Amino acid sequence: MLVSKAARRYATALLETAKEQKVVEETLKDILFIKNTIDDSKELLVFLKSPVIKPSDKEAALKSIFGNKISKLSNGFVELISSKERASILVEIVTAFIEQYNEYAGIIKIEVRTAHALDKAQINELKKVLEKTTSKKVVMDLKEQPELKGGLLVKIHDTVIDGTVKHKLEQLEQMFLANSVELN
Amino acid sequence: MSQVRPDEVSAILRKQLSGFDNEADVYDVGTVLEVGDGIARVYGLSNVEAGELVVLPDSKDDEGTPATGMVLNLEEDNVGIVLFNAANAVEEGDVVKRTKDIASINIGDGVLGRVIDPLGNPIDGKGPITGETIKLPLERKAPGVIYREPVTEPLQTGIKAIDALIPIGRGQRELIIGDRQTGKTSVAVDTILNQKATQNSEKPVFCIYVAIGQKASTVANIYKVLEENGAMEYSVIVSSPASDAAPMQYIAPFAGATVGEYFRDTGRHALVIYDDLSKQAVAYRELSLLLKRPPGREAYPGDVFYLHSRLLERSAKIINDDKVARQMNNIPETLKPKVKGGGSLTALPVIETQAGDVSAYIPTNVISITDGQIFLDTDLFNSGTRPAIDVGISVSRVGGSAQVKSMKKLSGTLKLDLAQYRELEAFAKFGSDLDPSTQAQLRRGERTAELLKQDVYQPLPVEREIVLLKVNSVGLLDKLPVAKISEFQSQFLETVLTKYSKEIEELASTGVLTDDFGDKVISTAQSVIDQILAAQEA
Repeated sequence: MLVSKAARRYATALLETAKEQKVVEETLKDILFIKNTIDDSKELLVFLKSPVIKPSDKEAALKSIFGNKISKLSNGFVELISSKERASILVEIVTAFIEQYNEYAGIIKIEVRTAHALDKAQINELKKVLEKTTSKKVVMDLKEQPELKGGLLVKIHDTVIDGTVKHKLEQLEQMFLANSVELN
Repeated sequence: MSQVRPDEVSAILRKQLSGFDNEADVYDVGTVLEVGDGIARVYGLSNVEAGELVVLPDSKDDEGTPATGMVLNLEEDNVGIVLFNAANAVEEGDVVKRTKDIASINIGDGVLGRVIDPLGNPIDGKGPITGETIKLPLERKAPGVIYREPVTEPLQTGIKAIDALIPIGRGQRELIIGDRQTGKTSVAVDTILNQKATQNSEKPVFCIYVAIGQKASTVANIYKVLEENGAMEYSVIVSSPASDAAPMQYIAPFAGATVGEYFRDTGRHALVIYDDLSKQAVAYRELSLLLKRPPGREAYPGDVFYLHSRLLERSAKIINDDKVARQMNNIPETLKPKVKGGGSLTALPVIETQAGDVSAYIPTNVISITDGQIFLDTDLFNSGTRPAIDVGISVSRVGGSAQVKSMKKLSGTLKLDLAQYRELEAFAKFGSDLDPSTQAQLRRGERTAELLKQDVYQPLPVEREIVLLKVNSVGLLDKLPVAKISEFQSQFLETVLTKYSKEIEELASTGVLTDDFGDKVISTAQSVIDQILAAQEA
C-alpha cells in the first residue's frame, strides 16, 4: 500500500511521543485495534474517506467508537487527526505506524508462498534460516498457492527468492523459445 | 537453414534440462499502482536504476509477449516507467520485475542490410541477425577530449552545392533544416547513396538511417531506394514509425547512435542520419508531460537541450592511436577487446521547421549544438532550384579543413559569385540597361546556380564535381544559354570520362587537379560548348 507523506509524518510523531512516554507497546495495541476495526467494517472506511461528511461528525463518531477503549495518548492522537481534518488518511497513518514500529523493534515481515502447507518443523526451520540471513525478528506471512506446483517463494521487501517449480518451468520454456531451431 | 538431426536436438534438450537445477532464482519486484497513456507508476522496485528495462510477466499482449518498459522517473515513493509494448494489457496490481539490464541492443556486422526497431529486433522479416553480436547500451557518454581528433577527412555527399560550399568532414555534425517538402530526406538519402564509392576504398563509410515518427510507407520507400541502388549492403535502417509508442520514438536516435558507435569504436567510419529530431523532441515532450515533469518553453521539458546535445556529442572523430583509444571513457566491457582508433561517426540530424521559423525552440537548440547547418528553402524549391539549398545562410564550421584541396581552391570564388548574384538578382529585369560588369556578374551567377542543380538520387563523385566547377570557374559557361547547362554537363562528363579515364582516376585518389589536366579539361569543355552552340544554330 502506498502511504502518503502526510501519513508518514503523523505516524512518526505518534511513535516518537510513545517512545518518550514509554508506552510504545500499549500504543501499538491501540493502533492494531483501530486497524482491525477499520478492516472489519467497510462502512467505517467509507465514512472516514467521504468528503461529504463534516469533520465534526467524523470526530464525534471516532470518539464514540474508540473513546473509552484506547489509551489517553491514542485518544489524543485520534482527536488531533480529526481536528486537522485528516481522518480520511487514518488507515494510511495506521499502516505507516505499523511499518515504523516494525523497523524500530527490528521486526521484518516476510511473505512465504508454497504449493502445499508446511508442517510446524518446516516453518520453524525456515524461520530460523530467515532470521539468520536478515538478522531480524521474522514475522512470516504464510500462504498456500497450489499453482506454484512445488518448491517455495520468499519475498523480503522487494526482493523475491523464487525456488518454485512454476518459475523453473517458465524459465525452461523461455530457454527453449530463445534457442528454438528452425527445421529444414 | 541446414537440417538438424534428431539426436542433435535431443542433445541440446538434455544440456538445457541439466540446467534445471534446484538453485533458487533471486529477483526484485514491484507492483503497478496506476497505469495510463503508456506510463505506469510502480510501488516497490526499491533498487531499480534509471534507464533500466523492466518486464511485466503477467501483462501479455495478443501474441503472448509480456510487456516491457523502461524506468525514467525515480521518486520518493514510486517509480515511473514508460511502456514499450502491450500498454493496454497492464493492470493495477500487476507484478513488475527488474531485468538488471540498462536499455541496450545487440549489434554486430550482421545488422548491415537490415531494418531494426529501436530495441534491436529485426523487423524486415528476414529472420534473426546473423553472425556475432555484442550487447551495447543505448545511452553512453560521449568520448572525452583526449580521445578525439579534429575533423580532417572529407565525407562526400555527392551533392555539388554541399561538397563545394558547405563541406562535411568525417566526425562532423551537420544539421539539415527546412520546412516540410523541401527535400531534407533526399539530401540525406543522396549522401547514403554516395557512400557506395567508398566501399571499395580503405575507409568505407557505413550508414545508419534512423526514421523517427515517419509514415511506415515513407520508410518502406527509402528502403526500396537504398536496395535498388545497392546501398543496403552497407546500411542499417532503425525504424520507429509514427504508429510506435512515444518511448520507442524517444529511444530510436539513441539506438542509431549505438549502432554508429559500434563502427566508430572498432576503427571504422559511420554516418548516421536522424530523420527527424523534431519528432523525437515531440515524443519526449509527451513522455515528460505524462510523467508530470514541469513544462518549459513550448511545453518542452527543461532537459530537451541535453536530450539532443548528449546524442549529437556521440558523433566524433576518434584519435588514430589504438593505445589511447583503448582507454576511452565508458567503453562497455563487451566492446573492449575490439576497440581500435581512427574511426569516426558523422551525424546528419534533420529538423523540420514550421513556415521557415528557425528561431523556434528546437531548431535554435540543434543549430547551436551542431557544427553548421544546411538550410533548405521552400521558395528556392518551388522556383526549381533543387536541392533547394540556401547557400547564403548555410554554413559548415569545421568541414573546410576536411575539403579536398582542389575543391577548396575552386569553391573560394564560387560562394562569392553566388552571393553577389543573389544580391543583384532583383535588378535582372533591367537587362541591357545595366552596366557590363553587373551584367557579367548576373550571367555568371545564373549559370553557377544552374550548374549546382542536381537530380535526386544521382550523387556525383567528387572528381566529376571538381572538373565541372573548374569549367565554370574560368567562365566558359557564360557563353552557353542557361537552358543548355544540363545538356552540357552530361555530354562533357561523358567525354572527359572516356577520353581521360586515367587522369580522372588519379584526381579521385589524390584530390589534386594538375595544371596539365586542368588545361585538357578546359579545352574539352570548349569543344563540347562549340558543338552544342553549333547544333543550336543549325
